Amino acid sequence: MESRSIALEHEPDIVVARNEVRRLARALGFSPTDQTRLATVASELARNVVKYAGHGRLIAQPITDSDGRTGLRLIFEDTGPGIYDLAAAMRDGFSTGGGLGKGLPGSRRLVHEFQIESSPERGTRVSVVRWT
Amino acid sequence: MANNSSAQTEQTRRVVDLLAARRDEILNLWIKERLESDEFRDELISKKELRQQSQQLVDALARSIQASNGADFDDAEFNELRAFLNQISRQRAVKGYTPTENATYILSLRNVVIPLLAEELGGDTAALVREMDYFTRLLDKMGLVMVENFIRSREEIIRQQRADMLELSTPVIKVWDKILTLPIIGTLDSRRAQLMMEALLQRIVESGSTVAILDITGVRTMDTLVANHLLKTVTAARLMGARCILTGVSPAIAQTMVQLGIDLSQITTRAQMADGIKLALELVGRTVVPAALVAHLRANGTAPGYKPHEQSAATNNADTKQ
Ligand SMILES: Nc1ncnc2c1ncn2[C@@H]1O[C@H](COP(=O)(O)OP(=O)(O)OP(=O)(O)O)[C@@H](O)[C@H]1O
Ligand SMILES: [Mg+2]
Repeated sequence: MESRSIALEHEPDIVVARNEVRRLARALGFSPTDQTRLATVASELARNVVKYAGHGRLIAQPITDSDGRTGLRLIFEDTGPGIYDLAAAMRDGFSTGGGLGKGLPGSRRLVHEFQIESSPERGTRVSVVRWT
Repeated sequence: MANNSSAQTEQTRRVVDLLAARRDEILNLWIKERLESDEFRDELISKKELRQQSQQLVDALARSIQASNGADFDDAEFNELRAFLNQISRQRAVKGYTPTENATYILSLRNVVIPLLAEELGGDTAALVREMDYFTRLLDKMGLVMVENFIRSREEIIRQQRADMLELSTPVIKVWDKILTLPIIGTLDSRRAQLMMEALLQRIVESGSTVAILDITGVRTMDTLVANHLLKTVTAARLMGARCILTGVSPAIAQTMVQLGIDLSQITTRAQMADGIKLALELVGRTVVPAALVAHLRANGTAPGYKPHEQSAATNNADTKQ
Protein backbone atom coordinates (compact mmCIF):
# COMPACT_ATOMS: atom_id res chain seq x y z
CA MET A 1 0.00 0.00 0.00
CA GLU A 2 1.18 3.50 -0.79
CA SER A 3 2.49 6.00 1.72
CA ARG A 4 0.57 9.16 2.30
CA SER A 5 1.82 12.59 3.09
CA ILE A 6 -0.33 15.30 4.60
CA ALA A 7 0.39 18.97 5.15
CA LEU A 8 0.14 20.17 8.73
CA GLU A 9 -0.37 23.86 9.07
CA HIS A 10 -3.84 24.66 10.35
CA GLU A 11 -6.28 23.15 12.77
CA PRO A 12 -8.35 21.43 10.06
CA ASP A 13 -5.22 19.60 8.86
CA ILE A 14 -5.16 17.81 12.20
CA VAL A 15 -8.60 16.40 11.51
CA VAL A 16 -7.55 15.36 8.02
CA ALA A 17 -4.45 13.65 9.41
CA ARG A 18 -6.45 11.84 12.05
CA ASN A 19 -9.08 10.61 9.60
CA GLU A 20 -6.52 9.54 7.03
CA VAL A 21 -4.54 7.58 9.62
CA ARG A 22 -7.70 5.85 10.77
CA ARG A 23 -8.60 4.99 7.20
CA LEU A 24 -5.14 3.55 6.53
CA ALA A 25 -5.15 1.64 9.82
CA ARG A 26 -8.50 0.10 9.00
CA ALA A 27 -7.33 -0.86 5.51
CA LEU A 28 -4.24 -2.51 7.02
CA GLY A 29 -6.39 -4.64 9.30
CA PHE A 30 -5.83 -2.93 12.65
CA SER A 31 -8.49 -3.60 15.31
CA PRO A 32 -10.98 -0.81 16.09
CA THR A 33 -9.14 -0.05 19.33
CA ASP A 34 -5.81 0.13 17.49
CA GLN A 35 -7.38 2.39 14.87
CA THR A 36 -8.44 4.72 17.67
CA ARG A 37 -4.96 4.53 19.24
CA LEU A 38 -3.30 5.47 15.97
CA ALA A 39 -5.81 8.21 15.19
CA THR A 40 -5.25 9.65 18.65
CA VAL A 41 -1.46 9.61 18.22
CA ALA A 42 -1.94 11.37 14.87
CA SER A 43 -4.12 13.96 16.53
CA GLU A 44 -1.62 14.60 19.33
CA LEU A 45 1.53 14.79 17.28
CA ALA A 46 -0.05 16.68 14.39
CA ARG A 47 -1.39 19.21 16.86
CA ASN A 48 2.06 19.68 18.34
CA VAL A 49 3.41 20.45 14.85
CA VAL A 50 0.67 22.97 14.13
CA LYS A 51 0.76 24.53 17.57
CA TYR A 52 4.47 24.70 18.29
CA ALA A 53 6.13 24.68 14.86
CA GLY A 54 3.48 26.28 12.65
CA HIS A 55 4.16 24.12 9.61
CA GLY A 56 5.17 20.56 8.91
CA ARG A 57 3.87 17.31 7.58
CA LEU A 58 2.80 13.82 8.43
CA ILE A 59 4.03 10.87 6.44
CA ALA A 60 2.08 7.68 6.96
CA GLN A 61 3.87 4.54 5.76
CA PRO A 62 2.48 1.03 5.76
CA ILE A 63 5.36 -1.33 6.60
CA THR A 64 6.07 -5.05 6.96
CA ASP A 65 8.65 -6.69 9.22
CA SER A 66 10.73 -9.77 8.44
CA ASP A 67 8.01 -12.05 9.82
CA GLY A 68 5.51 -10.53 7.44
CA ARG A 69 3.74 -8.61 10.16
CA THR A 70 2.01 -5.43 9.09
CA GLY A 71 2.57 -2.11 10.75
CA LEU A 72 1.98 1.55 10.28
CA ARG A 73 4.75 4.08 10.63
CA LEU A 74 3.84 7.71 11.22
CA ILE A 75 6.47 10.40 10.82
CA PHE A 76 5.73 13.93 11.98
CA GLU A 77 8.31 16.44 10.87
CA ASP A 78 8.60 20.16 11.14
CA THR A 79 11.23 22.85 10.80
CA GLY A 80 10.02 24.73 13.85
CA PRO A 81 11.99 25.94 16.89
CA GLY A 82 12.67 22.45 18.25
CA ILE A 83 12.04 21.27 21.78
CA TYR A 84 14.19 23.08 24.30
CA ASP A 85 14.23 20.38 26.96
CA LEU A 86 13.42 17.05 25.38
CA ALA A 87 13.64 15.03 28.58
CA ALA A 88 11.18 17.36 30.28
CA ALA A 89 8.83 17.35 27.28
CA MET A 90 8.64 13.56 27.47
CA ARG A 91 7.45 13.67 31.07
CA ASP A 92 3.76 13.55 31.92
CA GLY A 93 2.35 16.91 32.74
CA PHE A 94 5.03 19.07 31.14
CA SER A 95 3.55 21.74 28.89
CA THR A 96 4.70 25.15 27.69
CA GLY A 97 1.39 25.69 25.93
CA GLY A 98 -1.15 25.36 28.71
CA GLY A 99 -2.05 21.80 27.75
CA LEU A 100 -2.23 18.68 29.87
CA GLY A 101 1.32 17.77 28.88
CA LYS A 102 0.21 14.29 27.88
CA GLY A 103 0.65 14.47 24.12
CA LEU A 104 4.22 13.19 23.82
CA PRO A 105 4.37 10.77 26.78
CA GLY A 106 0.84 9.53 26.04
CA SER A 107 1.62 8.92 22.37
CA ARG A 108 4.69 6.93 23.36
CA ARG A 109 2.45 4.62 25.40
CA LEU A 110 0.07 4.17 22.48
CA VAL A 111 2.66 2.80 20.05
CA HIS A 112 5.28 0.05 19.92
CA GLU A 113 8.18 2.15 18.67
CA PHE A 114 8.78 5.79 19.38
CA GLN A 115 11.69 7.97 18.28
CA ILE A 116 12.07 11.68 18.66
CA GLU A 117 14.79 14.03 17.44
CA SER A 118 14.73 17.73 17.95
CA SER A 119 17.11 20.63 17.55
CA PRO A 120 16.73 24.38 17.08
CA GLU A 121 18.40 24.13 13.65
CA ARG A 122 16.49 21.23 12.20
CA GLY A 123 13.18 21.31 14.02
CA THR A 124 11.45 18.26 15.37
CA ARG A 125 10.89 14.79 13.95
CA VAL A 126 8.84 12.16 15.70
CA SER A 127 8.62 8.69 14.20
CA VAL A 128 6.31 6.04 15.65
CA VAL A 129 5.31 2.50 14.67
CA ARG A 130 2.45 0.33 15.75
CA TRP A 131 2.23 -3.29 14.63
CA THR A 132 -1.00 -5.16 14.05
CA MET B 1 10.09 42.24 -23.06
CA ALA B 2 8.60 40.27 -25.85
CA ASN B 3 9.58 41.97 -29.06
CA ASN B 4 10.14 39.35 -31.67
CA SER B 5 13.54 40.46 -32.79
CA SER B 6 15.37 38.00 -34.96
CA ALA B 7 18.00 37.49 -32.27
CA GLN B 8 15.42 36.36 -29.81
CA THR B 9 13.71 34.05 -32.23
CA GLU B 10 17.00 32.49 -33.10
CA GLN B 11 18.05 31.93 -29.52
CA THR B 12 14.72 30.45 -28.52
CA ARG B 13 14.88 28.08 -31.40
CA ARG B 14 18.13 26.90 -29.92
CA VAL B 15 16.59 26.22 -26.51
CA VAL B 16 13.80 24.32 -28.18
CA ASP B 17 16.28 22.42 -30.32
CA LEU B 18 18.16 21.45 -27.22
CA LEU B 19 15.06 20.40 -25.31
CA ALA B 20 13.92 18.34 -28.26
CA ALA B 21 17.21 16.81 -29.38
CA ARG B 22 18.50 15.91 -25.95
CA ARG B 23 15.19 15.52 -24.17
CA ASP B 24 15.81 12.09 -22.66
CA GLU B 25 19.26 13.07 -21.52
CA ILE B 26 17.90 16.23 -19.89
CA LEU B 27 15.15 14.26 -18.28
CA ASN B 28 17.50 11.62 -16.89
CA LEU B 29 19.93 14.20 -15.55
CA TRP B 30 17.14 16.22 -13.99
CA ILE B 31 15.57 13.23 -12.30
CA LYS B 32 18.95 12.02 -11.10
CA GLU B 33 19.57 15.48 -9.66
CA ARG B 34 16.23 15.40 -7.88
CA LEU B 35 16.68 11.89 -6.52
CA GLU B 36 20.09 12.76 -5.14
CA SER B 37 19.00 16.01 -3.55
CA ASP B 38 18.18 16.18 0.15
CA GLU B 39 14.69 17.06 -0.81
CA PHE B 40 13.70 13.86 -2.52
CA ARG B 41 11.48 11.73 -0.35
CA ASP B 42 9.91 8.70 -1.89
CA GLU B 43 7.17 8.87 0.71
CA LEU B 44 6.13 12.12 -0.90
CA ILE B 45 6.35 11.16 -4.53
CA SER B 46 7.22 7.87 -6.18
CA LYS B 47 10.08 7.72 -8.70
CA LYS B 48 7.63 6.76 -11.37
CA GLU B 49 5.40 9.71 -10.64
CA LEU B 50 8.37 12.07 -10.55
CA ARG B 51 9.56 10.83 -13.92
CA GLN B 52 6.15 11.13 -15.48
CA GLN B 53 5.63 14.61 -14.12
CA SER B 54 9.04 15.83 -15.17
CA GLN B 55 8.65 14.44 -18.65
CA GLN B 56 5.30 16.15 -19.12
CA LEU B 57 6.81 19.33 -17.87
CA VAL B 58 9.83 19.29 -20.20
CA ASP B 59 7.58 18.51 -23.16
CA ALA B 60 5.09 21.24 -22.31
CA LEU B 61 7.94 23.68 -21.83
CA ALA B 62 9.45 22.90 -25.22
CA ARG B 63 6.08 23.19 -26.95
CA SER B 64 5.30 26.50 -25.30
CA ILE B 65 8.64 28.10 -26.13
CA GLN B 66 8.31 26.96 -29.71
CA ALA B 67 4.73 28.17 -30.11
CA SER B 68 5.30 31.49 -28.36
CA ASN B 69 8.18 32.25 -30.64
CA GLY B 70 10.29 33.44 -27.75
CA ALA B 71 7.69 35.56 -26.03
CA ASP B 72 7.44 36.10 -22.30
CA PHE B 73 5.91 33.65 -19.89
CA ASP B 74 2.82 35.87 -19.74
CA ASP B 75 2.09 34.98 -23.37
CA ALA B 76 -1.05 32.93 -23.98
CA GLU B 77 1.07 30.18 -25.54
CA PHE B 78 2.23 29.34 -22.04
CA ASN B 79 -1.29 28.67 -20.76
CA GLU B 80 -0.96 24.92 -21.09
CA LEU B 81 2.29 24.95 -19.15
CA ARG B 82 0.82 27.25 -16.52
CA ALA B 83 -2.16 24.94 -16.07
CA PHE B 84 0.17 21.99 -15.66
CA LEU B 85 2.23 23.83 -13.05
CA ASN B 86 -0.95 24.71 -11.20
CA GLN B 87 -1.99 21.10 -11.20
CA ILE B 88 1.25 19.74 -9.77
CA SER B 89 1.61 22.49 -7.19
CA ARG B 90 -1.87 21.71 -5.99
CA GLN B 91 -1.00 18.03 -5.64
CA ARG B 92 2.05 19.04 -3.65
CA ALA B 93 0.08 21.40 -1.42
CA VAL B 94 -2.08 18.51 -0.31
CA LYS B 95 0.97 16.39 0.42
CA GLY B 96 2.62 18.94 2.65
CA TYR B 97 5.58 20.02 0.53
CA THR B 98 7.14 23.27 1.67
CA PRO B 99 6.92 26.27 -0.69
CA THR B 100 10.72 26.10 -1.02
CA GLU B 101 10.73 22.46 -2.07
CA ASN B 102 8.08 23.31 -4.57
CA ALA B 103 10.04 26.13 -6.18
CA THR B 104 13.35 24.24 -6.06
CA TYR B 105 11.90 21.50 -8.20
CA ILE B 106 11.45 23.91 -11.11
CA LEU B 107 14.56 25.96 -10.55
CA SER B 108 16.77 22.88 -10.47
CA LEU B 109 16.08 22.32 -14.14
CA ARG B 110 18.49 25.17 -14.74
CA ASN B 111 21.39 23.20 -13.26
CA VAL B 112 20.83 20.56 -15.91
CA VAL B 113 20.05 22.65 -18.96
CA ILE B 114 22.67 25.39 -18.65
CA PRO B 115 25.74 23.10 -18.90
CA LEU B 116 24.22 21.40 -21.95
CA LEU B 117 23.51 24.77 -23.52
CA ALA B 118 27.10 25.76 -22.95
CA GLU B 119 28.18 22.55 -24.62
CA GLU B 120 25.92 23.13 -27.63
CA LEU B 121 26.80 26.74 -28.13
CA GLY B 122 30.51 26.10 -27.94
CA GLY B 123 32.48 29.32 -27.74
CA ASP B 124 29.64 31.65 -28.70
CA THR B 125 29.60 33.46 -25.37
CA ALA B 126 27.19 36.17 -26.47
CA ALA B 127 24.62 33.60 -27.58
CA LEU B 128 25.10 31.61 -24.43
CA VAL B 129 24.52 34.65 -22.23
CA ARG B 130 21.35 35.55 -24.14
CA GLU B 131 20.14 32.01 -24.00
CA MET B 132 20.82 31.62 -20.30
CA ASP B 133 19.16 34.91 -19.58
CA TYR B 134 16.00 33.92 -21.42
CA PHE B 135 15.80 30.47 -19.92
CA THR B 136 16.56 31.60 -16.40
CA ARG B 137 13.89 34.26 -16.50
CA LEU B 138 11.41 31.72 -17.74
CA LEU B 139 12.21 29.29 -14.94
CA ASP B 140 11.99 32.05 -12.34
CA LYS B 141 8.51 32.88 -13.53
CA MET B 142 7.55 29.22 -13.49
CA GLY B 143 8.87 28.88 -9.95
CA LEU B 144 6.79 31.87 -8.93
CA VAL B 145 3.66 30.36 -10.42
CA MET B 146 4.36 27.19 -8.46
CA VAL B 147 4.72 29.06 -5.18
CA GLU B 148 1.77 31.39 -5.69
CA ASN B 149 -0.54 28.62 -6.67
CA PHE B 150 0.78 26.42 -3.92
CA ILE B 151 -0.25 28.99 -1.34
CA ARG B 152 -3.60 29.55 -3.00
CA SER B 153 -4.26 25.80 -3.00
CA ARG B 154 -3.44 25.53 0.67
CA GLU B 155 -5.91 28.28 1.48
CA GLU B 156 -8.58 26.71 -0.67
CA ILE B 157 -8.13 23.34 0.97
CA ILE B 158 -8.37 24.87 4.41
CA ARG B 159 -11.52 26.83 3.61
CA GLN B 160 -13.12 23.65 2.36
CA GLN B 161 -12.14 21.70 5.46
CA ARG B 162 -13.49 24.43 7.74
CA ALA B 163 -16.80 24.49 5.92
CA ASP B 164 -17.13 20.72 6.14
CA MET B 165 -16.67 20.77 9.85
CA LEU B 166 -18.86 23.67 10.90
CA GLU B 167 -21.88 22.05 9.33
CA LEU B 168 -22.05 19.83 12.34
CA SER B 169 -23.50 22.09 14.97
CA THR B 170 -24.43 20.54 18.25
CA PRO B 171 -27.68 21.36 19.99
CA VAL B 172 -28.03 21.41 23.72
CA ILE B 173 -31.32 19.65 24.41
CA LYS B 174 -33.46 19.93 27.48
CA VAL B 175 -34.74 16.41 28.17
CA TRP B 176 -36.47 17.15 31.43
CA ASP B 177 -36.87 19.89 33.93
CA LYS B 178 -33.33 20.73 35.15
CA ILE B 179 -31.75 18.13 32.86
CA LEU B 180 -29.78 18.98 29.70
CA THR B 181 -28.12 16.70 27.17
CA LEU B 182 -25.36 17.42 24.75
CA PRO B 183 -25.11 14.66 22.15
CA ILE B 184 -21.69 15.11 20.58
CA ILE B 185 -21.44 13.79 17.04
CA GLY B 186 -18.65 13.79 14.52
CA THR B 187 -15.27 15.36 14.59
CA LEU B 188 -14.15 17.40 17.50
CA ASP B 189 -11.52 19.94 16.73
CA SER B 190 -10.41 22.47 19.25
CA ARG B 191 -12.72 25.25 18.10
CA ARG B 192 -15.79 23.08 17.94
CA ALA B 193 -15.10 21.53 21.33
CA GLN B 194 -14.74 24.98 22.81
CA LEU B 195 -17.91 26.32 21.20
CA MET B 196 -19.90 23.33 22.37
CA MET B 197 -18.71 23.54 25.90
CA GLU B 198 -19.47 27.24 26.05
CA ALA B 199 -22.96 26.65 24.71
CA LEU B 200 -23.57 24.01 27.35
CA LEU B 201 -22.47 26.22 30.24
CA GLN B 202 -24.61 29.04 28.89
CA ARG B 203 -27.69 26.82 28.77
CA ILE B 204 -27.05 25.53 32.27
CA VAL B 205 -27.28 29.08 33.55
CA GLU B 206 -30.28 30.06 31.47
CA SER B 207 -32.31 27.00 32.33
CA GLY B 208 -31.19 26.59 35.90
CA SER B 209 -30.35 22.97 35.15
CA THR B 210 -28.57 20.86 37.71
CA VAL B 211 -27.59 17.89 35.56
CA ALA B 212 -25.96 17.75 32.14
CA ILE B 213 -25.48 14.57 30.15
CA LEU B 214 -22.62 14.63 27.67
CA ASP B 215 -23.00 11.80 25.23
CA ILE B 216 -19.98 10.89 23.12
CA THR B 217 -21.39 7.81 21.37
CA GLY B 218 -20.79 9.57 18.06
CA VAL B 219 -17.20 10.55 18.78
CA ARG B 220 -14.49 8.41 17.26
CA THR B 221 -11.37 10.07 18.56
CA MET B 222 -10.78 11.98 21.73
CA ASP B 223 -7.37 13.50 22.25
CA THR B 224 -5.80 15.40 25.14
CA LEU B 225 -7.15 18.71 23.93
CA VAL B 226 -10.75 17.57 23.77
CA ALA B 227 -10.36 15.73 27.07
CA ASN B 228 -9.00 18.92 28.55
CA HIS B 229 -12.02 20.90 27.32
CA LEU B 230 -14.26 18.24 28.77
CA LEU B 231 -12.57 18.26 32.17
CA LYS B 232 -12.68 22.05 32.32
CA THR B 233 -16.35 22.08 31.42
CA VAL B 234 -17.18 19.55 34.11
CA THR B 235 -15.34 21.65 36.67
CA ALA B 236 -16.99 24.87 35.51
CA ALA B 237 -20.42 23.23 35.56
CA ARG B 238 -19.79 21.99 39.08
CA LEU B 239 -18.95 25.53 40.19
CA MET B 240 -22.31 26.54 38.80
CA GLY B 241 -24.04 23.85 40.78
CA ALA B 242 -24.55 21.38 37.96
CA ARG B 243 -23.32 17.84 37.72
CA CYS B 244 -22.13 16.29 34.47
CA ILE B 245 -22.65 12.71 33.39
CA LEU B 246 -20.55 11.33 30.57
CA THR B 247 -22.16 8.61 28.47
CA GLY B 248 -21.33 6.58 25.38
CA VAL B 249 -17.62 6.09 26.03
CA SER B 250 -16.61 3.33 23.62
CA PRO B 251 -14.19 0.61 24.73
CA ALA B 252 -11.65 1.95 22.24
CA ILE B 253 -11.81 5.48 23.63
CA ALA B 254 -11.77 4.22 27.21
CA GLN B 255 -8.57 2.22 26.63
CA THR B 256 -6.94 5.01 24.70
CA MET B 257 -7.70 7.54 27.44
CA VAL B 258 -6.14 5.28 30.06
CA GLN B 259 -2.96 4.88 28.00
CA LEU B 260 -2.79 8.56 27.23
CA GLY B 261 -2.85 9.05 30.96
CA ILE B 262 -5.99 11.12 31.14
CA ASP B 263 -7.94 10.72 34.32
CA LEU B 264 -11.65 10.89 33.63
CA SER B 265 -12.51 9.24 36.93
CA GLN B 266 -13.71 12.48 38.44
CA ILE B 267 -16.51 12.48 35.88
CA THR B 268 -19.52 10.29 36.54
CA THR B 269 -19.89 7.94 33.58
CA ARG B 270 -22.55 5.57 32.33
CA ALA B 271 -22.29 3.22 29.39
CA GLN B 272 -25.45 4.26 27.56
CA MET B 273 -27.28 7.53 27.18
CA ALA B 274 -30.37 5.78 28.62
CA ASP B 275 -28.48 4.92 31.83
CA GLY B 276 -27.34 8.52 31.98
CA ILE B 277 -30.90 9.78 31.74
CA LYS B 278 -31.98 7.38 34.45
CA LEU B 279 -29.25 8.61 36.78
CA ALA B 280 -30.05 12.22 35.91
CA LEU B 281 -33.70 11.72 36.85
CA GLU B 282 -32.67 10.20 40.16
CA LEU B 283 -30.42 13.18 40.80
CA VAL B 284 -33.35 15.57 40.37
CA GLY B 285 -35.54 13.39 42.54
CA ARG B 286 -37.54 11.65 39.84
CA THR B 287 -37.99 8.08 38.84
CA VAL B 288 -39.40 6.20 35.91
CA VAL B 289 -42.11 3.69 36.81
CA PRO B 290 -44.68 1.75 34.73
CA ALA B 291 -47.91 3.62 34.15
CA ALA B 292 -49.84 0.54 35.37
CA LEU B 293 -48.23 0.87 38.75
CA VAL B 294 -49.35 4.46 39.09
CA ALA B 295 -52.88 3.55 38.06
CA HIS B 296 -52.90 0.81 40.65
CA LEU B 297 -51.58 3.17 43.30
CA ARG B 298 -54.25 5.71 42.45
CA ALA B 299 -56.99 3.14 42.65
CA ASN B 300 -55.85 1.21 45.68
CA GLY B 301 -53.54 3.47 47.62
CA THR B 302 -51.01 0.62 47.97
CA ALA B 303 -48.41 -0.89 45.75
CA PRO B 304 -49.26 -4.29 44.23
CA GLY B 305 -46.83 -7.17 44.28
CA TYR B 306 -45.61 -6.39 40.75
CA LYS B 307 -42.37 -7.84 39.40
CA PRO B 308 -39.85 -5.21 38.40
CA HIS B 309 -38.34 -7.28 35.48
CA GLU B 310 -41.64 -7.42 33.65
CA GLN B 311 -41.99 -3.71 33.48
CA SER B 312 -41.56 -1.97 30.18
CA ALA B 313 -39.77 1.28 30.72
CA ALA B 314 -42.54 3.76 30.24
CA THR B 315 -42.45 7.36 31.17
CA ASN B 316 -44.92 8.23 33.77
CA ASN B 317 -47.11 11.20 33.09
CA ALA B 318 -48.24 11.48 36.65
CA ASP B 319 -44.59 11.92 37.54
CA THR B 320 -44.65 15.57 36.57
CA LYS B 321 -47.68 16.28 38.64
CA GLN B 322 -46.20 15.03 41.88
N1 LIG C 1 6.81 19.85 17.32
C1 LIG C 1 7.19 20.56 18.39
N2 LIG C 1 7.98 21.66 18.25
C2 LIG C 1 8.35 22.38 19.33
N3 LIG C 1 8.01 22.08 20.60
C3 LIG C 1 7.24 21.01 20.81
C4 LIG C 1 6.78 20.19 19.73
N4 LIG C 1 6.04 19.19 20.26
C5 LIG C 1 6.03 19.36 21.59
N5 LIG C 1 6.75 20.46 21.94
C6 LIG C 1 7.01 20.92 23.32
O1 LIG C 1 6.89 19.82 24.20
C7 LIG C 1 5.89 20.10 25.19
C8 LIG C 1 5.16 18.83 25.56
O2 LIG C 1 4.35 18.38 24.47
P1 LIG C 1 3.05 17.52 24.77
O3 LIG C 1 2.37 17.23 23.49
O4 LIG C 1 3.46 16.36 25.60
O5 LIG C 1 2.16 18.46 25.70
P2 LIG C 1 1.32 19.76 25.28
O6 LIG C 1 1.21 19.86 23.82
O7 LIG C 1 1.91 20.93 25.98
O8 LIG C 1 -0.10 19.45 25.93
P3 LIG C 1 -1.17 18.34 25.42
O9 LIG C 1 -0.55 17.64 24.24
O10 LIG C 1 -1.37 17.42 26.56
O11 LIG C 1 -2.40 19.09 25.07
C9 LIG C 1 5.05 21.19 24.61
O12 LIG C 1 4.40 21.98 25.60
C10 LIG C 1 6.06 21.99 23.79
O13 LIG C 1 6.78 22.87 24.62
MG1 LIG D 1 0.60 18.27 22.63
